[in-house]
Order: sequence, then C-alpha cells, then structure tokens
Amino acid sequence: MTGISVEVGQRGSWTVLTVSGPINSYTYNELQEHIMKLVGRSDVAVEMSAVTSMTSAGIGVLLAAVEDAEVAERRFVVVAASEVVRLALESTGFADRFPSAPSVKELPA
Amino acid sequence: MNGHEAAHAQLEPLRGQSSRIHLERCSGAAVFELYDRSVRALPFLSGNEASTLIVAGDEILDNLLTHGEIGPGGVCVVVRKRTSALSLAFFVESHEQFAAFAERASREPRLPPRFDEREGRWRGLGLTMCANLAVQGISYRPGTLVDRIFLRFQASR
Repeated sequence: MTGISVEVGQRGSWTVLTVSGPINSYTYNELQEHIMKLVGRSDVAVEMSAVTSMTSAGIGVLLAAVEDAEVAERRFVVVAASEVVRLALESTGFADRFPSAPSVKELPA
Repeated sequence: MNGHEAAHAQLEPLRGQSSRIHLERCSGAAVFELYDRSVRALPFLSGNEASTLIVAGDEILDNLLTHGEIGPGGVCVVVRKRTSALSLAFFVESHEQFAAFAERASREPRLPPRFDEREGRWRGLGLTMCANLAVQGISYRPGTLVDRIFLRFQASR
C-alpha cells in the first residue's frame, strides 16, 4: 500500500478518523485535509492501529491538530497507536503532548 | 507528489546477521513500502528492532526524496546486528545539497524541533527523531561519488 485510507465515523460526541497505511511526505496531505476540516468543529479521535509507518510529516499534522483543538476548546486524541506510531511519537520527545486512548470504545464521554 | 509504482527492492543476505537492501527507481511513495517490507523480512531482527529501523529509515528516505535527489543508482541500505548494537547505513549517489547539509550539521549545534511561523510548519522534527532513536550515534558523510548516512541503535537484549 503506497497511499493511506481515512474512514470517518461517529461515536458519541467524537468524530473518529480511522487511518491505515504509511504516513509520509507523499501521503500526509490527505490526513491533514481530513483533520483540519474537523478539528475546530468537533472532538476528533484518530485511530492509528493500522498505520504502517509515520515520518515527521505526519507528526507535524498531529501536532498542529493538538494545538488547533486546544485553541477551539475541542478534544483531540490519538487512539490505539501502532508500534511504529508510538515509537515515532516518542522519538520526537513530544509524546506527552498527545492525549491518547487505548481504543475507540474507551474514549472519554 | 505521486507514488511511482516502478520502484523495486532487492534483498541480499550478507555474512553474519547482516543484509543489504537495494532500493531501485526511488522516485516515490512506493519506496517506503519496499523498505518497510524488506526490514520486516530480516530474520535476525526482533519486532521492536524492525520498528525502530522503519521509523528512522523512513525519515531518512523521506528527507532524501524531498530535500535531495536520488540518482538512477537508487539507495543501498545495509543493516547489521552485533551483540550490543544495530547499525543502519544508507548509500546514495552524491548530491551537493547533502554535502551542504552535512557541513551545517557538523558545524551547528542541533536545535530542538520548533514551529516555523513563516513557513507554517515544524522544522527539525525528523532530525530529532533520528538522533533520539539512534542513541549510539548518527553521522552524515558526503563523498565525491557516494553520500553515506550511518545510524547506530541499541540492539534488543
């Protein structure tokens, strides 16, 4: 798979983006478009268990989303990060900036 | 940027716990999948070691593809595992932008990641990721024919 797939769903007050595939300079635009469309308008959860790789291009999108959500007084959560996503986030030294949840079922009310 | 489906990977076992991955026609998104799949196929790596090499290696490839230029020879990647260290080396046709980058990297202290208000994007994230993952060192070696990037990681016990 060279592109990403983003599916949009709803769970309570959360808009859930389920992302799969590799996130890099070639694919981050699609993720960015989806996130930026939603992040100021609703609480957004990004489910990343099927993300196969993630470079700094994707992390930049997530960091911007966290900041935009804070400004809009909305919530933004990374859900079920795959091992490569977790490693990528930790390697920036910014892992504590990303609120996380183990699964969509365990999103706060 | 669009993916380029003609990209191709050759995996060649070397002596001991070492392998060479040759990524050919590296002009697009397919390269990441080829590299990731090749690393996952190396029998001497644990799952965590493979994930570490994928995160760091994808970052290197992303930078080579977006900030530099990869010649027709593609990218050669060598993975070696020793008792206490894991190494990842990238060999790519030399490029003047890489030489300039390597010179800056050796001269200037590495800044922490920061948001560039003018460009509207984060800068230095990728370098920080590689430096934090490659705890035993990262070096950039420009050459007249081949540029080299070496990363050394802690091997799993």
